[in-house]
Amino acid sequence: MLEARAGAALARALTALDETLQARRQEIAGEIEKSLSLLQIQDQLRALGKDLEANFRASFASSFRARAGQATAPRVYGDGSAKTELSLVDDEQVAEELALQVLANRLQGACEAEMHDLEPRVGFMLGRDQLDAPANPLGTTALCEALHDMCVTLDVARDDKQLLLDMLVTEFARELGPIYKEINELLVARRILPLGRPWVKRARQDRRGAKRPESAERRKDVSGIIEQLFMPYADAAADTSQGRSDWHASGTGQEVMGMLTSLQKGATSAALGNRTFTLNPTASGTTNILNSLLQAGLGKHLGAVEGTVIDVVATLFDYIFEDERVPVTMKELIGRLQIPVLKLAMMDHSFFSDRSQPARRLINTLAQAAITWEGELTTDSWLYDSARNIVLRIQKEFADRPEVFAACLKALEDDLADQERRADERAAALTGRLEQREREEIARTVGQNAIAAHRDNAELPASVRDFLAETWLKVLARAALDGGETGAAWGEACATMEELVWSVRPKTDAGERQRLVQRLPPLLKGLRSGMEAARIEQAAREAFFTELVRLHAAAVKAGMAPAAGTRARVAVPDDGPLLQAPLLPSGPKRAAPAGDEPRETFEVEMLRRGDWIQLTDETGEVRRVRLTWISPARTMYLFANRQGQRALALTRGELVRRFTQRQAMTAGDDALMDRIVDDVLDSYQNPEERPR
Amino acid sequence: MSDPATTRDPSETIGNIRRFLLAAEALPSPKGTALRFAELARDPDAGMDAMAQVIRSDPALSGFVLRAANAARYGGGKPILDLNRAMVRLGVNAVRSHALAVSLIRDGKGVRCARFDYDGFWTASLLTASLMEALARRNNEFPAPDAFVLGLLSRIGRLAFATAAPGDYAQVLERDAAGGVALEVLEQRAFGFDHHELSSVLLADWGIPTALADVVYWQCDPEGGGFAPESRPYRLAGALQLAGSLADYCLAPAEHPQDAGTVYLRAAVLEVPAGEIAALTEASLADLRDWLRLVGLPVPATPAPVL
Repeated sequence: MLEARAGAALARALTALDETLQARRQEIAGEIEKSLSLLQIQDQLRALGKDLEANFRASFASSFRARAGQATAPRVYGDGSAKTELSLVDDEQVAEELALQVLANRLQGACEAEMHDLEPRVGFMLGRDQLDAPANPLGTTALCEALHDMCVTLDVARDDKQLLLDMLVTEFARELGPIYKEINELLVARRILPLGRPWVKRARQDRRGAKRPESAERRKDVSGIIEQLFMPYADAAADTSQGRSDWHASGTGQEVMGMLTSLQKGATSAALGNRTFTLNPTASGTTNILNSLLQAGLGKHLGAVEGTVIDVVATLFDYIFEDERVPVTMKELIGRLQIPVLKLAMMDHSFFSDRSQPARRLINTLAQAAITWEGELTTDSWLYDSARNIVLRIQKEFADRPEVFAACLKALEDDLADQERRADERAAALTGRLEQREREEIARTVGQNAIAAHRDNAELPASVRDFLAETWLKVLARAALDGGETGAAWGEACATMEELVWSVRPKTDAGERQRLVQRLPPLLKGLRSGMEAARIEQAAREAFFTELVRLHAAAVKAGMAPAAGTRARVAVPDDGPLLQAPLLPSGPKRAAPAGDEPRETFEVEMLRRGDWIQLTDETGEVRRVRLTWISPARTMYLFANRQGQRALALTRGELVRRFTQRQAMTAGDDALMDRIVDDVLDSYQNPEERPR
Repeated sequence: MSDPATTRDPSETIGNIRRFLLAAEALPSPKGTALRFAELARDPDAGMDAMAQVIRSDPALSGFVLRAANAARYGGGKPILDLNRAMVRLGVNAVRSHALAVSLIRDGKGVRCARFDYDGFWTASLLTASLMEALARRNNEFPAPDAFVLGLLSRIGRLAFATAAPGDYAQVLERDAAGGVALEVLEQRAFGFDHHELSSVLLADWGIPTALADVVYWQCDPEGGGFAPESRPYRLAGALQLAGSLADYCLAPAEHPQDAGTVYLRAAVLEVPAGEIAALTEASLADLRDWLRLVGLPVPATPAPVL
């Protein structure tokens, strides 16, 4: 990005410079020598403008690579090429290097603020704790080197080259600040030290006004900051016993510690010597009371080391109070630890050098817990409550034994671990629910696919389709959820569904009705167990079973054999109270007479209840009997006499035999009358046959 | 002897139904008290005293009539001991039906079919009769006494097979016990007709209204009988199937699992809720115990059916 943006800026700088030279030439038109010199420079400038951006990118890339791979600037100036052999350094080379550094410093000065932010970020990316300006691959020195390399090729005198480069840098410097600013924004957007390094800013604003030497193990946390600021004194104090200060054991030290302890326990004022130190009780919780004590003259009662200690501790709390990530409520709690921490640091200087020091870890943990708190950290939250208890305990218990910090740290870490464990459990439960919901959705889809064909089948009763789409879908989904589509429950649920669909269709013959009777018990059992497994509400179950009873009755009735029209004409005698409704037996078992059966079979077949037949026995006696009943399978014929008494019962075969042998014939009452009339008429037509 | 259940040619045996009629004299039939009572019932000149006299000649029947007349379902509140009044309260037809049942069962002696469960047959027949009576009373569509008789005799054809052809029918029953083939099919293979048809023939032969004989025949498939939808014969055939299946299932559910389906379906068609089925079954089982004590049959343990 830098090379592209810088290349474009450089092109604009060249254009501007060309215009400046042109104007300058016009101004000094009378001075031939100067004008020619400017013309020559202008000519070289335009030559430089050819393929400017590409050349710049190539040159800058070289400078960048040289720095990105090494910790310090590698370039040896002279003839424009890097020297790998030892050689004497001539004056010209030194002058050129110095001139280049001057130009680089000029650029650096034009964008100091931006470079200040950029250097630590570039160092962070390169994994270097310290990165000075010449070593910065994106720095102004690298840019100047690239410009220098481009100008080296110009065919002009060394002084003119230097002049041209000088003018170009001057013009170029105007555009460089926004470019570096944009680069910083880009890095921030990519989370490269987005908040910068506050200790650096603090160091620049520090009232001592001098940078502290940096440790090779620079820390990003607040305790690391303290370490950096306190290092010179901590090192000096290291000469004492294991970093432990003896000052606090002295008389003055004990007085100061007593005064601090008094303030720690809630006093708003405390005397030290002939002075009284008063705290503003209405001050906010984030007021740096250590600064207030310093301003009130506490420093006069302290030695050099202790003065630095309170200064550093005050700075520590400044940073905490300024850190926007830490909620105010937590800052106020941490703020109450100012005096205890100061006392601890005075007692034990390892506070600054030991990263595992419990008080440091406690403050870090409090701050970190608050930073990672989602939403507003209110005073009724568990974290606030836990932190407040810890602070109160330290205020109350800490005198000169630092173990209370370790105990409080453990209590806080236990609380945090417990909350994290609960959070993990809640998260696990939520994850489980989500997974379960997903499985349920899949199972429901599988169920919907299974019922799709029946749901859209308009021939099925609407109540069954509704039942499948709503209730049985839940059963199928439950079965799919429990054992998948290959499980027994799924197979049973699908089979039950198919049985249900079949059961409500019209049953058109006795075989189907018989099959329905046989399949009903397992069907009902399957429906009950399926709905039980899917926890269908009892009311819904009962409502469906009530509807199913109706549907099954309708399915059976829909298959009723049609009434035989020929039977309807038969006058059925009123045999009693049960016969008020007409009886229309159709006789499905009745075999139709075959075409080659004798005529007598047909005559028997044509017999109807109520018909009269004439029977002649072996002796020639004639009886007239009335057919009173034909068995449903037409295997038996019952006859009665005029009195209604049973006359005889004949099987079908016997009756056919009698018709065949003329021992039986139809002989209704009307036929007898017809015969008599016919006989009378015949006698009149044939007088010779008339009885005399 | 060949196996009649598998080798008999139906065409040879169809004509032989007559021999079952000819053998009907050996069947239990209305006689004695029942026959005399039936004759009086048809005699317009016969008075209630004459009928009571017939009943009195049979102490067991007398006691049963009095007990029935005093039962709550006949509206009895104040106990009565007068047979005349008992008959009035029960109705002549009811008394006749009960007399018939007693006589049929008492007279069931003669040739024995080895595999035929006579006690079981009559127990099931009595329960069927009692259920039919209860259904008739509930639906108020049929005279309860007629329904009782119809239930009692609805499977008389089985008894006729066992009486007229004890050896052959024993083999049929043995095959039936082996399972796999319906009894009706085995009967048709052996004799050319099944007990439904034989029952209907016998009833017609005994002078039972032929319309009822048709109903008895079609009880196995009421929808197949060509009855008019919702006609009384259709509903009567359905009630008969319901009562018979319910009786079989109550007495031996393990042997008749399919009867649960029949009961469900017939109750659905007749629109009898499951709760009422349970109630009338319980009442009929109580009646059954009375009947079995009257006729001297063992009282089986009959748990309430779970359908």
